[in-house]
Amino acid sequence: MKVFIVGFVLIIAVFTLPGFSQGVDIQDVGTISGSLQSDIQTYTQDSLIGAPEVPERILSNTFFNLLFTRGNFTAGIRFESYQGPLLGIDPRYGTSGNGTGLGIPYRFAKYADDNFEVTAGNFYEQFGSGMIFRTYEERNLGFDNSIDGLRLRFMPVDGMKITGFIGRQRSFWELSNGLMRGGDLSIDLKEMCDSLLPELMQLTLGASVVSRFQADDQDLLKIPKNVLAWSTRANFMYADFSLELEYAYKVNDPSATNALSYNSGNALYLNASFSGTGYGVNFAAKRIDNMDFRSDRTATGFAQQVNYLPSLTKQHTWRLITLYPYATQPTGEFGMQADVTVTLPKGAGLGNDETLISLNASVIHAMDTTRTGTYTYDVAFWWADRTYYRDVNVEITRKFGKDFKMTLAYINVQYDQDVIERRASPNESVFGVITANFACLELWFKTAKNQSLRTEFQFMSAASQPGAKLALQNGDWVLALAEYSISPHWYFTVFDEYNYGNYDEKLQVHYPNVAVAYNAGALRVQGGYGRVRGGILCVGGICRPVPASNGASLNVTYTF
Amino acid sequence: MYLIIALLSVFTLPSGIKAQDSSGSRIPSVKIRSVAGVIVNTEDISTDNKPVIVSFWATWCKPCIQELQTYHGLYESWQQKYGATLIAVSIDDSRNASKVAPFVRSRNWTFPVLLDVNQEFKRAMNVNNVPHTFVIMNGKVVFSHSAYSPGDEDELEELLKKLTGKEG
Repeated sequence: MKVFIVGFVLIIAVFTLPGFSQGVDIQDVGTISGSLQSDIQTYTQDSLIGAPEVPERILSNTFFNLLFTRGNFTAGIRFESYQGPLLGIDPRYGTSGNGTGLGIPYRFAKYADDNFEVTAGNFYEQFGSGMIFRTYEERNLGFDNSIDGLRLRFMPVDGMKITGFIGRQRSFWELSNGLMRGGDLSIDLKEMCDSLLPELMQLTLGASVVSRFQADDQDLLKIPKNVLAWSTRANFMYADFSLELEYAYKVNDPSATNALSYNSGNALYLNASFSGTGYGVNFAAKRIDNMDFRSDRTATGFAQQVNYLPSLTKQHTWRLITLYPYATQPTGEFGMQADVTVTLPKGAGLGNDETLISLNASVIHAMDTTRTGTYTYDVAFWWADRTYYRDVNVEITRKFGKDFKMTLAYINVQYDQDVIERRASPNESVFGVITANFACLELWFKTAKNQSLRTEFQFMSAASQPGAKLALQNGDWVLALAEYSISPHWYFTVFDEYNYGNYDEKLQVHYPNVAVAYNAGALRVQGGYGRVRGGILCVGGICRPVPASNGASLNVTYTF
Repeated sequence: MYLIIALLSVFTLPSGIKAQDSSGSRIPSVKIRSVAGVIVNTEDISTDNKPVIVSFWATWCKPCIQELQTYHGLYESWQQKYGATLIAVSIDDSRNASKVAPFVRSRNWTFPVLLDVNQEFKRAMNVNNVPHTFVIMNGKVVFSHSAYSPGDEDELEELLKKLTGKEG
């Protein structure tokens, strides 16, 4: 890595030398841009809510990106610091590697023109929807699975892209044991030959392979050293209708996450959508069987994931219901989701303003499996009776003139806590299924020029099955929030979550929070203080458990 | 040690190196698809001296939706008065990317929407979080703003006036 950084410095130095041999004007040597994100949090022990004692008292995560661009050439680095990692972020960010939590785990150099692209160093890539390969960074969740290696892309003709890569995956401050390599072919028929398809019709086809090599270190079992996964996809569009299909397959890959199953894995994904002026409909189905794919077969949790299998459920952002988000079960699940959104125009029997109505429902079931041996099983195509998750929700937003807006939301969720939070073995029922009913009223007022007030009132009842064990946070909740903003600089937020219905009276506690944010252009500074309940934090497609905490926080972001 | 060298060399570079917000860096080239299925090279978003507003957003981001809904109401007038274009870049990943087209159509948004499914454009533009809005002219970033609060559109309109020399 050191060699690479020195190389990066040299490259920049060479490109910035006055009178660079190609006669580059000093005023045209390139561009430096970048960004900073720093999150600092103090921790006070609060045994009532399960907030642990943190010996350091203050923890922080910092990310500093630099990008250098000159014509077709780009180079970049990211400095990261975990002093130590914020609670909820994998502690290995503070302990692995040299153990200081400091370094440059991301650096790359890239050359790209119209037909060719080469990247050396770390890169992020996605094949199709990511069912066999996706590397990305989600720093708020402590997630970064970039590949360190070489990536080549060829675009021989318009509409065709061939990608190939080889390298090793980042694993905190180290690199994964497994060697990863793969390739992808993507063809856009419309782009390639406009006359091939009728007007308004588009067809994109793709195929990928990804393979991992890892030595067989098992004494008792014979484990495949090379694990190959492939996928194929088609995306068809005609006017406002679109259909996506993707199928993925993985050869047998006994690993820590699939209980050493010798079954092959596969996944099937279908998505159809149709929309027009003022309405949109989307339907999706996904069947997953034994598709957990990692760059190291011994990895568990969020570490060293190679593929991306997001939940086929709506991503709720109302605070209380985020206590019960779904997490995909890569070992096996079958899910469906439907989504309908309609804007009722002005004067459609509901007054002089527009009304937006969103309906969404999703259901995820277990797969019907039968054991055929210690490490093998049979699986039926259709789903089993057991429901892992079910969600039916509606949201209505109504404007009343320019200065007042109201949103009403109702969500009904069935949540199998044993499976989703891995609290019990697959056939055991300990915490059981939780049924949550959530309702919310959001009001927004424009109070003066450039000033507005937003309030939220949330209620959630959560019922467990009779006789089930109860998690620390359970029962009924209310939340009230007020946020006042003065454009363009200031935000003031205060909210309180109250677990008034907890079955344990001692835990019927308030979680008050205050925050102030200052914004100036691309700079944002936010300070806050409060008691934060434990729960699962989701950003983008993935979620991680966040322990309860009590303390002050400071967040700074800047782009330059 | 090497980091210090790297940082020092970066900050002691000749004035030819430009920071994004001061003298305006060129918009990077990333090829991503629009919701209409067309491949767009982000470098081609802005080639003349008309302002282009690029707003990064996601279907799960409430302030983003509020911001775009506000721009939606003003867009026609901004197009007419300042010749401005608005491009909304969705950073939704494959969990929600297929829902973006119905999402946009159901809200009657008329501006183009790009799908930055693996956040390649977001990284190239150094965006930390959404919403983040840029104004680009002649291919160069002239304004960068993170977060959104109601009223920010007035600041943006003032900028459009200044950039185009039109009083609306």
